[in-house]
Amino acid sequence: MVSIEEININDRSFCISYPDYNERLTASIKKIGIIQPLIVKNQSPFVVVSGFKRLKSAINLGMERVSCVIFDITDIEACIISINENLFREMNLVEKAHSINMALNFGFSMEEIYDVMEQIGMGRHENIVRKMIKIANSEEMLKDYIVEHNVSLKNVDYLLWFEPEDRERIMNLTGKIHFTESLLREILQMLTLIKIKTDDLPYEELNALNSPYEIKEMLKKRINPGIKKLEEEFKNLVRDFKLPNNVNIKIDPFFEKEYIDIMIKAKDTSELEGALKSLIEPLKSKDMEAIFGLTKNRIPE
Amino acid sequence: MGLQKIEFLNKKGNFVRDCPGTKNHICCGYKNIDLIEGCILSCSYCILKHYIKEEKIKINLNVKSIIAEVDDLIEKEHNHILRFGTGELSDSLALDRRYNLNRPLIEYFGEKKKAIFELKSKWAQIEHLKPFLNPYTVISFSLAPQNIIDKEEKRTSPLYKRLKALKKAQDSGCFVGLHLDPIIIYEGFEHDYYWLIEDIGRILDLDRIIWISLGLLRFPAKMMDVFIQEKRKNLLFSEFTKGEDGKYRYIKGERIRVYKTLYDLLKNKNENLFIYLCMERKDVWKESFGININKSEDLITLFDKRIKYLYGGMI
Repeated sequence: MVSIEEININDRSFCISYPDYNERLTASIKKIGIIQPLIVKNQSPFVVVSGFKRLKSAINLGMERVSCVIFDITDIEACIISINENLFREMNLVEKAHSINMALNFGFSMEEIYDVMEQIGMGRHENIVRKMIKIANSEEMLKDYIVEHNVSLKNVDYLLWFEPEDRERIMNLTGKIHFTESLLREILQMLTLIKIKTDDLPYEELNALNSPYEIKEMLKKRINPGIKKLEEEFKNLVRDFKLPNNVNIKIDPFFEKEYIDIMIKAKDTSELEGALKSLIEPLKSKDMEAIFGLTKNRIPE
Repeated sequence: MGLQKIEFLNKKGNFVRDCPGTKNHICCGYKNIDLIEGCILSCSYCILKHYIKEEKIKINLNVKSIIAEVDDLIEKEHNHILRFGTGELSDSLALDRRYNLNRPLIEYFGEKKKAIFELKSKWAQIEHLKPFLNPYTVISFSLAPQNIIDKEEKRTSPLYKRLKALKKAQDSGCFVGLHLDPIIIYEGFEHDYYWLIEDIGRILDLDRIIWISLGLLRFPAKMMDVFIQEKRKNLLFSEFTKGEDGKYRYIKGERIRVYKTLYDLLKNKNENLFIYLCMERKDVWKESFGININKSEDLITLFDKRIKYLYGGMI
């Protein structure tokens, strides 16, 4: 057993865990104590190599002594132990970033860093190393956001693209609504585009919206005003045809293809006849011509 | 100049590829000779960066085999006049003075007199080639307003040098090609393109321009992230949509508007200019130029006519 006073609790050189506090662990320690001892590096005061969460729980519980294994090791050995100690569990993205950052700080070669990346399930690429270092050195709010929403590296990359002030506002906006990973990606990409184009973001409008789809539609209107206008025109024209439910006119969502699709669902000849008849009036009208015009991006006057 | 390593290869075959084309887009039927793979120039919108993963520039030294392959293709072709170029996977001229790569091909096409060889570039250095140039080699430059060259085409020659090199090529008895590709829509681009076309009309002999291609910016979806990361305001200025090939393009209405404007400006300079669209849909052709091009074969036939018109019985 080692007195907590003999441990440098502020030295987090070998800390990978994020967040470094776990209520369930604290409750368990309160009940049955620390089962697995901490690993500390033999120096005065001791430096924790593995067991940061256990140490914090112990401090919170007012414990004065914790069980430790004391190792006579170099910094690099401590670093290797710290990474390996965490390999048995699923690390979140921030913890993976901490691992890589730590390896880099302790002078691992690029090849050794790639080996670490492989061990923690990341691709061996310089670009990924750069991104992970950014994450490791980012603000707490971003780290919390990544862990809480299980954000992918791609989406973190988008968030890191913004200045901290914008990033904070975006995290506040997206944090309160549930986004799927792909939807979040779409939203973030659109936000970056708006920022590049206008050097501004429409926070007021965005904050007034409550669903991810409303946000997506609003941003789409900004990014793709032409396509949105074509979409609206198309909807209006088709609505005016008053077609029966078994007839559906479809247009390429990107308004690139030169043709439209007309789909008819019919289970007998009379239904088919009815569907075909419903198309006669639209065919005679100028509106059908206008729909074909939309395939060439011509908006009717 | 570039820091990339050069690797010399002695490949045995497969040097010539048909332009890959794009689904439901009209292709001109160009043949690419893979003489060099990779580029020392640094254009922000370059899709080579996306396709060629390696940093190294590869140069195929087996020119004899290249010529044998080209010759075989020319001999087997009975319907069309083939057009070859080395500017697909690289810039045709950027490394040429140092390594003298195109000269044997220029000489071969000059003797063959049955097909066209195009050198497509943004690197305005043709002095070393002048003694060998012949009418079967077309010197082509990609042209853009200087504003865009400054911001998006790092390490390339300035516009005035490109135009000067084109004029020199014309004076040496060559036809020249112009590629307004990629055309980038940014704030004030119409004004800049107006003056670019004015410069073309002022400096070049318009009767000795064999073709002019127009191609608005298009790029694979992955490049969008690159442009965003690099905050490419010019490249991202206008509205994009995804084509059937998954590439981003400006929305069709905007493409038609821009093509029509540039077509009219060019045709006002000289009614006989041969202008074509690179990888566009048939309705864009019709709406922009008023021409019915329903399939790639139609465009290839137009090229044949153009070449026969300019070369008469010489080809």
